[in-house]
Amino acid sequence: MSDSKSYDILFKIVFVGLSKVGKSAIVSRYVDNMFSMRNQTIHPEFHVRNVVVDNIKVSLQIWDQGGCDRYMNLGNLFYRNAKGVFMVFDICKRDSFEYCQSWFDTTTRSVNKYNGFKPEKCVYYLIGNKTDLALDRQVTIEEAEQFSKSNNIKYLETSAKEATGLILFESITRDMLLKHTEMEPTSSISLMYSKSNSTASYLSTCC
Amino acid sequence: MMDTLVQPTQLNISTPSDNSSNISNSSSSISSNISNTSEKPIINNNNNSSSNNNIQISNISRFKKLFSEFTLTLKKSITDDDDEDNDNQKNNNNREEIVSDSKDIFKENHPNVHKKNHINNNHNYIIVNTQGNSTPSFKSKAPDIREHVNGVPKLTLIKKKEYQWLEQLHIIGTSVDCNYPQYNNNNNNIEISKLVKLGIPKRIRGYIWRLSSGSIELEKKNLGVYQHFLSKNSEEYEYKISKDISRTFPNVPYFCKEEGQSSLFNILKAYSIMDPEIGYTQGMSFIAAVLLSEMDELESFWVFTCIMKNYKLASLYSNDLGLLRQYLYVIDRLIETTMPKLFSHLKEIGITPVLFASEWISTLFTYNFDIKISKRLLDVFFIEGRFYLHRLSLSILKCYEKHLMTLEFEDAVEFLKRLGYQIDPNALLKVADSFAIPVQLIESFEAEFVHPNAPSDYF
Repeated sequence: MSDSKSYDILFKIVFVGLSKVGKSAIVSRYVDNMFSMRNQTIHPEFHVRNVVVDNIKVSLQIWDQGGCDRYMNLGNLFYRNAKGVFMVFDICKRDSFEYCQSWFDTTTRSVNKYNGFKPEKCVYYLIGNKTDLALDRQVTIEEAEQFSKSNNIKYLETSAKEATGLILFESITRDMLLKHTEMEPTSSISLMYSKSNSTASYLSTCC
Repeated sequence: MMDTLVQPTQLNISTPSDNSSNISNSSSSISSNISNTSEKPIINNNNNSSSNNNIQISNISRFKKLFSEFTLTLKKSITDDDDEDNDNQKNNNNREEIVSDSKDIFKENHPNVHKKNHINNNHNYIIVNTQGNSTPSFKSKAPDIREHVNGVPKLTLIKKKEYQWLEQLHIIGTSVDCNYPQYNNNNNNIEISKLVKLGIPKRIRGYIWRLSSGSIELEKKNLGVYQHFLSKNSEEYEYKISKDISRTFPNVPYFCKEEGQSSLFNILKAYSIMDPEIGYTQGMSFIAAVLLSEMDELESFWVFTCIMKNYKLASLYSNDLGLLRQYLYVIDRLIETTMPKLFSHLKEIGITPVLFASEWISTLFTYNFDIKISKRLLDVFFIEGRFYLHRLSLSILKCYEKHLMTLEFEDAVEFLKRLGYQIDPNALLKVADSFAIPVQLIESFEAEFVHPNAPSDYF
């Protein structure tokens, strides 16, 4: 596990989306580079990954929630201090896309409620997973982009199975960093960054 | 609670709120098979929460009564083991039944099961057996008790150790007045409790679970009910269930195959239709799967129903998760009371029971646990009842108290999520035995939890 002192800034990212769209598969592909049959996720799972983006050492705290809506009732802790939200749907399952609007509404409400800060502080991404099954596609890219435009969020497609589109983690990290410096220009990143001895040390210790 | 019940095969469970909600939609084919519809309900719950003691008491007494019947048959069958097939026929009369192969389904090298459905028109039952014949043959290997437990068990090739175990339980079970061990110091009941904590021998485990949960009796009084609900449809729940079936123990061969998956699906579907208010929620499938590994589909369904109704755990899965929230609240208060140092450490690093205990409770320690360990814990749960879930949760923390004190948030969450694969069940059960957590304390914390006015930011 990560040494809690070895990063400049910590971002919490949460995964939401209907059951069986591949939330855990994306996380496990990114964190362990594995794709395997696994148990359904019932209650939030939690992973840490350290990355370096633009010479800033970032610890990503990735929370993976089960897709069962009843357990959303226990979710306060899940959304608390979330800085990034991945909203995942299965491009071959129409209902999982149609559900995204309500996920988006619930999630933004929860994030705002439990974080007590303004919604613009949090970065949202819409993710269409399972592009390896694109032949069975039920949701077009245009539709998904339409949705993301109207909600002012980004849209990306992935395949956890074929390990494509994992750029989404780096992408959201950059966006979160950007938001962070926008919101608090005087704050911690630059300070924390300068505390460290050299850029080289980051690079050498990072994974 | 039960909204859709069959008459006259009305499910013989009375729950506090079901007095006016029986909908008559019986099918004549089912009711014609029923002979004992006038029997009184098995469970007479009082209409208040203090009836938990009574339930525990009646669990044990039912257990003892049934067990004495069972052991009599056992003795008879040991001396008289030739007409196995006749007995099977006799026992299968007037019920639809599935006799499945002995399946240690969690074993990697599970022998290939050749399933054959044999439908007997006269008796309307289905026999599924291993040999492709209509009558099971057990000559080649020691029979698994589960092949015999439908109706009256018949143990022709029972091992000596198992017999001794059963016999001891029988003596304990009939010689004394029964009371729940938590509530009095009756030595004999403590003996039962002790015995179960040593682990139930594998081949008789399913039977003991059925006996102690009250499912045998429930099953007998609700003949045809399972098939009735199975024949109905619920699009919403069936869709949800089907998504989770392939994601329940996907690494266990039995649940990769159609046979295991369809049984699991059937159990959950029938339950969700029978109890539409609860329906289906993630977590249930793991419990049902573990039951399926010890008994057949029909039996698993009834034990599952007993867990929901006799042990009153159904509202763990209700829309507002009321009972799960209550469990988490009580566990938190118990940590505070019994392990104040650990409590303040967990608070400091930001860990609350929702992060670890919610999956322990909502899957009865079957998710993220080694299956063998889960079964040891369930052995005791079936005897001790629902307060044992608090006790186990606290005991797990107690086992790792010192280690947890050294961990930061991330490592602690990771550790708590994975400890189910490494914990020593004997040590855990020992700790659970010696841990002073009076039931009165649990009850007082439960009373404190006033849902839904409990602080919402608590979780």
